[in-house]
Amino acid sequence: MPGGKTIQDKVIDISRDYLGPAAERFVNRQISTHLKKSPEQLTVQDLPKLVDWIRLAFALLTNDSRLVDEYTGRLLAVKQNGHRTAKA
Amino acid sequence: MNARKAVAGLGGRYYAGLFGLLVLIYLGFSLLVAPSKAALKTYHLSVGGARAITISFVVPLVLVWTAGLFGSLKMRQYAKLVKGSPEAHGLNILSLGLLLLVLTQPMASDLSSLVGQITKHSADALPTLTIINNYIQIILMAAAMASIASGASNLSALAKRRNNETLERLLWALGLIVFSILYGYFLVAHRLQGPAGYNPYFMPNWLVLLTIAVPYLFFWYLGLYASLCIFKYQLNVKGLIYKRSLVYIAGGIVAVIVSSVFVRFLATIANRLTRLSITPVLIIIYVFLGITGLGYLLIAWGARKMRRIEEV
Repeated sequence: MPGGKTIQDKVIDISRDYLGPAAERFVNRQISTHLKKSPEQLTVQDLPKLVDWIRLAFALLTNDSRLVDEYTGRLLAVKQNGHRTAKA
Repeated sequence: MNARKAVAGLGGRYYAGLFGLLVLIYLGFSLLVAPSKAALKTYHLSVGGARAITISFVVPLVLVWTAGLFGSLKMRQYAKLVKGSPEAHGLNILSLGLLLLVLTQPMASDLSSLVGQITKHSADALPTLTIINNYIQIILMAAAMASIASGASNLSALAKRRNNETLERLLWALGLIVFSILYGYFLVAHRLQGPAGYNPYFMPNWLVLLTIAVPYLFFWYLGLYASLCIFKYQLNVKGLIYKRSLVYIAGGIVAVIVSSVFVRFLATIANRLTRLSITPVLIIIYVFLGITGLGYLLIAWGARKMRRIEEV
């Protein structure tokens, strides 16, 4: 994906709106701990599983369920956009 | 996980040990030393009654300090967890300042209690020891506030500058000037209105203003500036959860500064307080405890939330 953003970058960008400077560390930790792969290897297919783990982890940080839904909804949208890009 | 535990345990154990020692000394002074006969007479208390009252504020005070230690250690652990990130340096200095602030609280109380005990047996030493005690209290506060302000300023430097900063600076300067004049006036006017020869600082007014009032005002200003820097930093970073944690920490520092102003106010009007009955004196003490406790709890809560982000 020369010049474009990777899936990992997109996930981190969205996460930054909720976790600020801690976002990159948070996302990379979820990928390496739960998906057992290096963050750079993240693919669109990994997103549903990653979003599930992120939902669980994020719910430990806030009781605001609307915020959790908003965050995970935006992450799942990356998958849909990713598929569209792939088809195009 | 093991590395985290090591970070948490190693530095924290020494600080907690020192804190424990200082608190034990304070408890010893407060609970083992016989209450002064003058105080028993003034407040019409029995020795048992005086002990019960002492316990009623010493225990919450120690809990408040412990909350402060917990918060500053959490902050310190967080700073170490994010080592290498842009905000790590600022957070590290800030957490060190908070830790110093917490450690200086029992240290300052131990010193004041020691001065109280020595002067019970040697009244002639009161002026000298009071002056030394006042300056040591300033030095302790200076070390903590300078570190907090330096860390907060580092964080603030990471954020983009906003357009309305000139107005903000002017309002800040105006507020500082007004508060400084009021505090200076309060110190001098209170002494002039007191009984003949009343001089709680055992120094001429000009020296009190120059070497007690000015440093306190400066370090209060530094502390408030630190909270402002943290607040500004959170305005300029992304992250709803992260921002909330910083707001708690900034608010906590403000509450701790307010409690320090409150203590200076009480120290200045100490002679008037002795004329009050026990109930208003206790209310004043509990208000102070409430403000300090709120400050340290907010810092602890904010630091805990920040650390939590790195743990899940």
